Amino acid sequence: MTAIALTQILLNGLALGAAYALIALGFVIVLNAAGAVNFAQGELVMAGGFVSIALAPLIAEATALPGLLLLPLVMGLMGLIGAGFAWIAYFPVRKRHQVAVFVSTIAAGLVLQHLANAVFGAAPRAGPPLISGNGVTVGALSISLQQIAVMICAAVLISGTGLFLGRTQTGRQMRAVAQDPEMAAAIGIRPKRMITLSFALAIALAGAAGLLLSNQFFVSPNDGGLFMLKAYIAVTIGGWGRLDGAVIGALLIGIFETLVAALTSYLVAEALLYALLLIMLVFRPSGLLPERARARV
Amino acid sequence: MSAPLLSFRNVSVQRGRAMAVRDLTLDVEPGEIVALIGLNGAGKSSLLRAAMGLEALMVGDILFRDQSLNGVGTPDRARRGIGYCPEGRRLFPGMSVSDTLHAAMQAPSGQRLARIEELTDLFPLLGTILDRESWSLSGGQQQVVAIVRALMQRPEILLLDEPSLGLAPVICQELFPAIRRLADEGAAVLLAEQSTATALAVADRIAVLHRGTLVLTEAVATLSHDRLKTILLSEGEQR
Repeated sequence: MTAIALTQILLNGLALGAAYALIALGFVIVLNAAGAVNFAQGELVMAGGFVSIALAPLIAEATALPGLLLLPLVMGLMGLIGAGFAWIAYFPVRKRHQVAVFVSTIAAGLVLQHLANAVFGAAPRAGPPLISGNGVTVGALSISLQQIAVMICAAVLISGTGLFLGRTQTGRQMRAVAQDPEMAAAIGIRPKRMITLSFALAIALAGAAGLLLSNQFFVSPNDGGLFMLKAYIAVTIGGWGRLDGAVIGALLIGIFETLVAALTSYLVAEALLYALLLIMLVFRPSGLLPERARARV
Repeated sequence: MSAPLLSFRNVSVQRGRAMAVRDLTLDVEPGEIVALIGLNGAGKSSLLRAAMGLEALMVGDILFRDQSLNGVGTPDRARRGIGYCPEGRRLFPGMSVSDTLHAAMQAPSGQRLARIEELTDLFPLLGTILDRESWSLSGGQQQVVAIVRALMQRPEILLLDEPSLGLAPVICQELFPAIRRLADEGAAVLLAEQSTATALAVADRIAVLHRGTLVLTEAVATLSHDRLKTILLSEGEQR
């Protein structure tokens, strides 16, 4: 493999990993805020893809930035869906056995899957590109504008999420609730409001990932499970409960998948990824960046 | 005497299967430090948790500024002026001290910064640890942060649960005068404390709890130490 080919694969992998990072980030935000795995996170990515397709006609075809203009709209709508999701699939069952939340989110995911099937059909559909145009060529290296836009969008959203959680008063209060909801309430923070906001943010990010992935990789109602597994693997590799770990894990998965698929096939890449997950669970269950003594950031 | 700031009226609290507090009536006045004394399991922490809305009352009522707290959630009790510093500190380990303190005050940024400065005057140690993450602090530093966190909202009453637990005596010597100063400035303090000597040194009044029942309330100034010793000794023997 030449250096050019390797660079090309790395860029493709980074673009894919960047979109996975948004899914994994949302997964960890809900995990920390609610103390439970949202098994519908993958279906919500799929829903984001279909919402983009449904809203695409609102943006004139002539525009050079169809997906970029749609992105805030899709994220806003998915954020509202996220807030509703918290009140339908999480709050009513959160004080019961933890399995109840698992089952509830799985059920919500299935509802979304069947709804997408009924409205859009089972066939894969392509979402709008973030940006129109072919791409840039540097020597023998060619990068599509879509890939560049995916990487830039994901980087902006990831940094924005980091800044929001780290530097704003609402972000601090969301982190306090994620670490100790009872104590957060005792200093005047309203945990339900913060958990609702966490779901809204996480699902807005899932929606953004859906839009980012839907043009190059298409979207179909059955894609949710795959996205969910990618988020789970990213979080396991990066470190359970760590936002930075989830992003690193997702980028590594994107690069790994693209590289192995180029050398062998996509199926082998998938199989090896799951083997890697098993190895991580056995030999380093805390991930690459272990959580510091309940330090949920 | 002014109206009580916090009143427990025939309060009973159940924790798990056990009755943690039984038919307890107690008032706390503004500017007063009331120390709850009793052995482990006497019901001190349960009483403070009930005042904060973290334990449900089986019977009775708790009044704050003459208004029932029945149906008032924990965040609203904090916003109305009840500060709570729990046993074991329970800081947010992954957050810096500065972020923890900012999160604990519902006010614009300028007011939050001014409040942190004010509290740094009361606890000078705070100024040196603002950028540290809570998990990396020593026990004494954590206790100071936990108290300051409870004070950020300018509470009218501070519920302090076992602040001296696990702290070196030298840290306690700095901590309790600061608590006294808070009361002198008008805040009430309800202090749960296992160390009788510490409680007597700082409190205006003591309330002795035994297996959830209030067995003695008396001003420290008029307290017969022999009587207190008799009660505490008989408590120990009964266990």
